[in-house]
Order: sequence, then C-alpha cells, then structure tokens
Amino acid sequence: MSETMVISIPALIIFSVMLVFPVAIFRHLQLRLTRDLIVSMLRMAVQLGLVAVYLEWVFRLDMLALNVAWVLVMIVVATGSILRQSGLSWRRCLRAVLPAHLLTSFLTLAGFLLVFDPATLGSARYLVPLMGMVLGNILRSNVVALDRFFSDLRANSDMHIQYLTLGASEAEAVRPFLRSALRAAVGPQLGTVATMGIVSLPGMMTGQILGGSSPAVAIGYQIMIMIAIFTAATVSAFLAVHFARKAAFDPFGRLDESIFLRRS
Amino acid sequence: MLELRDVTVRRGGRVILDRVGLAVAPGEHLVLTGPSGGGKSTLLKVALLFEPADEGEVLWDGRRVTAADQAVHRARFLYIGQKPLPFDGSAGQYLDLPFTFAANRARRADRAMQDRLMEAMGLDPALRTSPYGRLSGGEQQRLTIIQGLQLERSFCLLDEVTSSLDQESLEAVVRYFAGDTARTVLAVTHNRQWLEFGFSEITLEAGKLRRLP
Repeated sequence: MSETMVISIPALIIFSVMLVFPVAIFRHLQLRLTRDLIVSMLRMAVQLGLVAVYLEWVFRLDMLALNVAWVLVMIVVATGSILRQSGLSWRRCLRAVLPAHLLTSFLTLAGFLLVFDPATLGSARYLVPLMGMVLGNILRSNVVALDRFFSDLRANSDMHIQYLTLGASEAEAVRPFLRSALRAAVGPQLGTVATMGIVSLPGMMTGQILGGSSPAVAIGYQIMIMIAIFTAATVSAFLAVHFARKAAFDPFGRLDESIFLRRS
Repeated sequence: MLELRDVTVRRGGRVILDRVGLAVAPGEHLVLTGPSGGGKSTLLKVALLFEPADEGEVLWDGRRVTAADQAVHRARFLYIGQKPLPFDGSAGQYLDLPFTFAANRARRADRAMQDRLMEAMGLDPALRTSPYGRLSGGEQQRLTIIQGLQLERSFCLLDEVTSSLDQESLEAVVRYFAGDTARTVLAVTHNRQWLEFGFSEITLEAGKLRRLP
C-alpha cells in the first residue's frame, strides 16, 4: 500500500470555502448559527492542532499514567460540553452527571479488555483513539437525551404534577420523560448501525483504510467499536438523565429552575 | 379540611395571590372563577405544595403542611389539569396506570368500576382497547378524570377539566361531581353551568379571593 497523501494547511484553508453554503442557508433561514459555526470550526481546528502536537508527544512517551490522565481529561471536557449544549448549568450539574460518564467509560474499558490484552489497551495508540470515539458518541447521545428530558418536563409540568398526585414516586413520575429521551437519543443511532456499510462508510474504517490497513482488519475494529459506541451511548444517556434528575428537583418535587442556563 | 391562611405568592414582581384565605369544609362543592391569569391555577398548586407560598401557610385539619408531609398530603387529592396528557398505550392501560406505581400496589384496578365510571362520563367501555393517542381530546380528558377517580381520593382539585368537552360530556362530568357528595370539590372553571348543579362560587380577581353569596 502507498503512503497516505498529506493534506497541506493551505489546501485546508481553501477547502473551508465549502462553509459558505451552510452560512448562506443559516442566513436565509435567519438561524443565527453563523457565529456558532465559525467559533466551533475554529475551536475544532485549534483543538485538533493542539491534540496532534500533544499526541505526538504522548505516543513517543507512551506512559500508562499519562494515557489514563488524558482519557480523564476527555471525560471531564465531554461532560462539560454536554451540559453546556443541553442548556444545563455546569456549576449545578457537573458533580451529578460526571459519575455517569466515569461509570460508562469504566464499563467500556472493561469491555475492551475482552478483546485486547491490558498492555495493548493501555498504550496510547489504542486507548486514546478508542476512548475518543466512544466519548464523542456519548456526547451526542447525552446532549439529545438531557435536552429532550428537561424540555419535555418543562413543557408538560402538568403531567408531572398529575403523576405525582396519583401516587407516583419521583422516579415513576419521570419515567415517560426518561423513555422518550432515551428513544430520541439512541433510536437514530440504531438506524445508523443498521445501514452501516451500505449507506455510510464508518469513520474508523475509513481512517484505517486510508492509513494503510487492509479492509479485513478495518472491519474487525469497526464492528467492535460500533458495539462499544452503542452500549456506551445508551448506558451513559440513561445514567446521565438518572443522575441529573436527582439534582433537578427541590424537596417539594418541583423542577429547580436554577439548574438551567436560561430560565423559562 | 383544607385551609389556606394569608397566602401570598409573587412571581417576577407581580402579586399572583394576595393574602388569600380559604377554608373548604368536607363535602363542600365549590367553583373558583375569575379572569384568566388571575391566579386560579396557582391557588390549586399552592394547595398541593407545587407552588411555594411567599407568605402564609397551607393547613390540613388545622395542622401546617410541610415538605416532609408532601406525599401523604398529595395523596388526599385528586388533581386534574386542563390539558389531556400524552400517553403511549391503550385507553385501558391508561386507566390502569396509577396501579403500576409502588405507592398504589396494595390496590388493584377494578374493571367493573372502570366500566361504571366510563358510562357515567358518557364513554363506551369498549373504548378500553383503543390506542389512547387516537382518542379525541374530550375522550382523553374524561379518561383522565376516571383514572383519578378510581383512587377514591376525598378531595378533588379540578383545573378547567371541562374546557375541552362538548356540551353533552360537560354535563355528564359536572353531574357526576355534583352527585358525588362524599367528595369535596374545588373546580376552577370559566363555565357558569357548574353553578346550575349546586356549586357555590368563589372568585379570584387581581389576587384577591372573594366568596360570593
């Protein structure tokens, strides 16, 4: 197999002209997302640039403690980002929601040990990209789950009150909201899993093939990562909503508005 | 007996309830009227402890109700809101829902009672197998009323429960509550027809509560 072609920085800058189209659509629909788009794209470029530098360094040293520390940083950043994107106060909810992601990451790592020996899994080349993919998907499913859960709860506070007066416990009264939040969060992912390979060529496989692996090797990794991602997305969304709920109600069982960034 | 004593509620600089005092004797049938936004729904939620009072207190049989008593306190009431609620499942499953909660495990859904209540509310008991989501707003609302009635709570707090009903079902519902002398009823409504069924009127205007003769 030949060397992967290098994309130069000027080439990337030229390529970003593509973004004119989403910007034009945002303007047309008066979506006010242009600033978010530019900030997000710049953040991505800077973060990836820094990570590239950092990873070169991590990969050269390849110390288990350093790799684990990096994964912990990723988990905390993911939780913070999830809270911000779902409109929840970082200060009020981080402590409640972070354990959901620590537990899920722990579970996922334990799962990976069924496939890899500990030394391989602990090495930077495996641990960092695998957990990166898992956390990226946790992020997506959790933002949807938390956002849906709390927006439904605010819109249907009458239903919540009615369930509570019918004798439902706090957990029973939020069950319908939890159900629809989880369906919204992981339902679409199931669709993606079902059409994988036909409609979408998954990122990990594409990366490995571009990097020079044979498709047969790439497929093994892809199937494993899909199982890990789906499990982690579901478990983390469930736990995150569960833990967030515990922090979200006052002693009277009313939604505590101070957990939201923007009050209703 | 439910009593609100000098209850004041302020929200966003506006006084919603202004030193409201209200005592409802057992078996009393009251309608609470007044302009929209006048604090009627808030008053029901204060009684259920879902809205904190800035001043004043909620009492039951002369004793102040606190957060620690909320489960016991709320279990005294049948509360029904103005909108039919969303639910996935059949109408029968919707009626059985309260019995799936741990607090109600000792009780069991009684088919005969459900059928009787459905007929009293002008619903065909055969509706039980229909998907709840496909029923009309008025049918859903009456099922919600029946769902609550099964629990045999002694005090009904009804928040505009007849607003989505047609004339015939409205009369069936009002007649049911009017005839239920074992229960105390406090019904928020804009519909004056309740008065024809022997309900007494209290009215809330600009946060002030008045009992009408």
